[in-house]
Amino acid sequence: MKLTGNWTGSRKEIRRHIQFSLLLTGILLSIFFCLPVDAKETQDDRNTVLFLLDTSSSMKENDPERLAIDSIAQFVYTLPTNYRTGFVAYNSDIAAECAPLESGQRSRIMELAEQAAYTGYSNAGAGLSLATEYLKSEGGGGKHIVLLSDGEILMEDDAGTNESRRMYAEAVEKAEKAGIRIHVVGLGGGMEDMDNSIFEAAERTGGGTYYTPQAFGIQSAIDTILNEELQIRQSTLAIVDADGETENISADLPYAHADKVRILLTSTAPIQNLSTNFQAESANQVNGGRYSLIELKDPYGTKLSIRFTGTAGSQVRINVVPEYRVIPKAEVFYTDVVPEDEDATAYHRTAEVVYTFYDLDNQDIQLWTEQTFEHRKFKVTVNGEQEEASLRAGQLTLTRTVEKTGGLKARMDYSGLPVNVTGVSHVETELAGPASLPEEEEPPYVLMFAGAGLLLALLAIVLFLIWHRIGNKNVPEPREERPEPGRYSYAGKLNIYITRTPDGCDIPPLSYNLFRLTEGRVISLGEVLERCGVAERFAGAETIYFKPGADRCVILTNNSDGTVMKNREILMKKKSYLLVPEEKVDITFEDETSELMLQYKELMPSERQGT
Amino acid sequence: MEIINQTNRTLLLDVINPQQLDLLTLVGDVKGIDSLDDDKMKEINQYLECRSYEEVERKFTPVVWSFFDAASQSVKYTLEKPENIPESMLTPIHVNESENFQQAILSVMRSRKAQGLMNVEFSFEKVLEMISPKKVMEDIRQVRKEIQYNYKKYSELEEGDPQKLDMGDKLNLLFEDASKNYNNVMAMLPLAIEDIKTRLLLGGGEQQNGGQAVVPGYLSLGDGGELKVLEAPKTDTTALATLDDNVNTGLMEVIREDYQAVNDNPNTYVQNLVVRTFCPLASTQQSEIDVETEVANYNSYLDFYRTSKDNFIKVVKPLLERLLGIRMFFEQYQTKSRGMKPTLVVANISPEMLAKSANLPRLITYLNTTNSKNNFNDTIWYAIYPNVAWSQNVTNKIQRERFKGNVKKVSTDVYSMEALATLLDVLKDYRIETFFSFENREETTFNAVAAEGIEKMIDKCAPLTGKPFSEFAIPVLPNFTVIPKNKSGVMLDSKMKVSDNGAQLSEAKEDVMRLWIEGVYIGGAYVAAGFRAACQCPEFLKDHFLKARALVYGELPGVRFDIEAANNSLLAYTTMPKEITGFTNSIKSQINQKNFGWVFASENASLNGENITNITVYKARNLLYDPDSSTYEAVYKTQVTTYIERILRYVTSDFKEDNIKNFFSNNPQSQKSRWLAKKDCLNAIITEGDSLEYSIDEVSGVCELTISFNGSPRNLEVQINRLSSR
Repeated sequence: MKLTGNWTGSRKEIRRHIQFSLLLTGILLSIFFCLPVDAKETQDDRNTVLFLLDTSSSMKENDPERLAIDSIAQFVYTLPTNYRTGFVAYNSDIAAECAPLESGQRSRIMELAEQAAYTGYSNAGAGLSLATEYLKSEGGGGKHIVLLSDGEILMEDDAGTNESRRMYAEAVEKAEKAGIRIHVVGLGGGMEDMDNSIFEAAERTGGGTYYTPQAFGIQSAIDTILNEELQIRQSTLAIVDADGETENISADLPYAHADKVRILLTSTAPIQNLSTNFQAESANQVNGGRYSLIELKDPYGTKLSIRFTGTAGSQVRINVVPEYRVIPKAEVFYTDVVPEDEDATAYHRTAEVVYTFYDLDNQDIQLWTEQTFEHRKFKVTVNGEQEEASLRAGQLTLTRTVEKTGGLKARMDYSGLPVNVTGVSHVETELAGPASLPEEEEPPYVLMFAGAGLLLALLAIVLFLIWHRIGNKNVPEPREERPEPGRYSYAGKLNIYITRTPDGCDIPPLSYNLFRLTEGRVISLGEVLERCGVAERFAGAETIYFKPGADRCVILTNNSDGTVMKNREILMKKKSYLLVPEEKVDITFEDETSELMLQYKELMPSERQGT
Repeated sequence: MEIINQTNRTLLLDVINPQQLDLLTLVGDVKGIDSLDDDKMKEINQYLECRSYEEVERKFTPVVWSFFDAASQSVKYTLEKPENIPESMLTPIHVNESENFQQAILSVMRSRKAQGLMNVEFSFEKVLEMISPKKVMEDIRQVRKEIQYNYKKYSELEEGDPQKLDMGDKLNLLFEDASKNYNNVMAMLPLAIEDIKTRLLLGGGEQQNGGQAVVPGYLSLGDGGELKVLEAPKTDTTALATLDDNVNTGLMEVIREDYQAVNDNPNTYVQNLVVRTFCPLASTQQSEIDVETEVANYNSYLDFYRTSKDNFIKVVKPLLERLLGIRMFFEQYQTKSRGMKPTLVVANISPEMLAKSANLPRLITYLNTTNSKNNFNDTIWYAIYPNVAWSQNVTNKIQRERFKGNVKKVSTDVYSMEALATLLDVLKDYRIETFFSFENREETTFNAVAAEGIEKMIDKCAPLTGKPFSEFAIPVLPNFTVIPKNKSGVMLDSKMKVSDNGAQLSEAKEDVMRLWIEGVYIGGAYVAAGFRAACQCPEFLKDHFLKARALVYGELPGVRFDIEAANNSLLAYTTMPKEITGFTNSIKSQINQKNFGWVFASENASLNGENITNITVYKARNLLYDPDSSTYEAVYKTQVTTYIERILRYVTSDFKEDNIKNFFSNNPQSQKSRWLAKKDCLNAIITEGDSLEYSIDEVSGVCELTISFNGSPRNLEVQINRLSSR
């Protein structure tokens, strides 16, 4: 082919040139011209839950230990921040009421619940009516009522009973219309018949029905409502059978950058002397009779240790409720390829949309890069169509072929994640249409050479970086260069005097006790220096090895290119030499600047005890 | 003494003269070597080992460099030779006994010791006047007299007379001495000052006559019978005087010629001054005096002399204190017959420099050579680390200086606790016991300890306790005071003024020229090390315990000598004179409670009716703390352990198992039996109540020695060499 002179090649030939060069530049484009796209943020609606408690005198029999109150605590405190919570208690009339509150005010509900006395008749009609009224005035989002009762509606006389029933039925109807779901937990013998009118409310509003003959079963019913009906994500950290002694629990909290982590301890008996150790921006602790809540705001450590004293014979459950505030952001990477089709006028463009999730409050922090989140399935609704994708290194990737400019609306469904998520779930991205193919007469060589040149430059940079990395770091030599472990034990220590460093700083004398190492262990000088806390790197130190020898000696093997001297003699490379106690060795490292002297010293039995 | 012939070789970790060779330079590169060869050791000993103070002075020639700074019109002094100033501009001032500041200090020490006076009773001012121009002149007068006498004899003798040559030798020496003065202007200053004063006031103001010119004459009766002093006629000279004049003229010629020869840059004024000083004369040498110029000269000379002397003292004082310390180290050893005389190896390098990790291998290699061989001639047993920084906690913060207060001492010549810890860590491997004392200042003197107790010192030593090297660290307190700060003023002279009656010495207060030395002290570590080194010698012990009729075995060193036991401290004491009236009982009980450190005492004590006017040793402990008895360990235990280990290694040919068993056996020829046979001696290795046991752990091959000192055990482990046995 002629590269100069008059261009007379056919259209097909030209296209082939273009294809090759554009393929190169197309790939380059995808690397260099990824465009961050603004995500349109929409705040999700808040959910509201109201706990409706029957405090009639019959509860005294069915819940003599007032476990219901602890269950309310567990329920209320487990709910994420985007839930508003209310509380109504009824007996002959309304006994206590509290309109839905923000998450920070939940302790007021607990104050009311703890004060509620089990007394009087059971006017569920009045209770449910009030609850429905409260929820009706709430904004969009899910609305739930959790009703705990131990029997049918019963008032002093029939008229009262009927009136209450009427009100109950009316409230159920209103709830149904307002989209309020009522979950009913029945307690004790009076509720054994699941067909009664109380349970009916659940059936009509699509809520769940739960029955437990004994009060300690309330907790599991509440758990089910939280997990299945409200889809709250929590994990059980530990279940401890307390023996009256102090319990120590330490665990990993793999929720870096979470907005909040709630740790809830619930027990069948009082929990005492609770102390926790963690790192977080702020924390709050709420203690009840048989529960304790620790709320960590912006935890930044990943270790948690808890100490408490449980009552002998009781069981303590520790649950963790992590909560994230998230904003997803999209980036688009385009790959343009010259299409095979001869008649095509534009490139064939593929867009790779990468969604990355950031902390809503500090949008520099990328979330969910931890192992816990890797490969988690994730449902995304893109332009109305649902797709499933999985998280990789904290990112979701969708691929689209783009023919013309248009928007891409994605809605994230976070329910597949093991954590509670609030914040933004919608992202809107603009996808740019492909560019037209260039005119034919454009000489292809410029692009071709430019592309090839750029690629070569890139390759050179990458190679340089790799070489630089290797050159700068004490990268361990292949394993096989390491001597075989010895048969003996160490009996001494190394006194190290660094006489010269590349930057001329003075490092105080070091001493490394070899005696504490396991039998036969091979250790390199690099490891010794690192363990002594020396930050400077000594080229080749990683390949100067020590291992224990017979008669309290150590064996030194130099596999580095540095110079090792002993008794005026340069030790040969890859040969082993015996160091007897008190003997010293001088080492000049590969950089020909750093030097150190080390002296092998014996440790007497009494000195070993202190190590 | 067999096997180990010395147990008191001491390493001084300090610098005397940075221009001389030092330990690091002499040891040189140690890459790949375990120890130094014998030639190298010989060289090191040749340069650094000293057996007397005079040897230190000779080997290190301590010197202060002076040069004139034209910018500030003053004399500058420095201990380090300034490198950017040409050699010809520098004048070295040798700090030896003929240097008059050192002379003054030594005179203070000697006369205080001779008089047995405490600091408070001694009149320092009188002795310190020695550094005033008057005293310099007095010294010169003495030299002058000798020169004149000898020159007269010399000129009388005939040429070729062998006696004349002898006289020539003598004169050469005297001229050499004299020329030291006239080859530098600084030394000429006191001469010039005194010369002007003599000429203006006739003899230093002893006979005040208002500064009128004096004309010699004779007493006679006048015509009317009135009493008259008649001016003597100029021609009226006797034959003897003529002869004297002849001698003097000759001498003047010689001095003039010598001055010209010695000085590169001769000057007529100085030449005349030198001639006038060394040949003061005579009736025939009259000259007119310009009073105003002479008075102005006198005042400016005096001012210049005061400033430069002041600068000089500031620079020379730290060096002088070091030298005094070394002098006292050697002085502690005073015996009738010479035995194990302490030797001092002067590292001549700053310990801070030595403690740098780049330099430690050199020190280690040196110590490997001295202390890890079965040749004990060069073994180092002690080290001296003086001048540990005494950092002050500022409690009273002052916003504004209303009155002129103390300038905070710029601690340039002090050494850090960190460097001490680093060095101790090395020295402990060679079982070298290190005496250290805090920097010389008022807070570390007897006065301060008597007033404040030793709590501060204990706190400051806290970083060194509980460490593997604590056993080898001996804190010495207090430091010795040669001249207390509050009595360190020296009156040089008064300025002169011109009045109608001629020149007069001014009586105004501001015209009295005074300078302040601000206290001269000696680090306790030198004296403690010197004293301990002296106690190692059996002859020393014999001399001091003669009266107590104690048995001293001449073939054993004093390693087990416990200065704290019985009346030992009242029989063997330092050569330092008592400084204060003593510590209060509460301070003594504070010291006794913890048994902290090496503490000197300046107590009133008498033994068998004889008063002890010297400073005694009150405590001799290191920093190894025994929590069981809540006291610090006595120093002798460490040295006995070291001594036994070294003897054991030697006798058992490096810990051969069979030999170890022999060593401890009941055979009368065994080493242990031989030591036990001498148990009644003062310097026994194992005394009554002590025991020496051993056990061999067959599995680990370790022999454990248990040395019990009066019931308190000390363990020592040695690795057995089994090659011979099985």
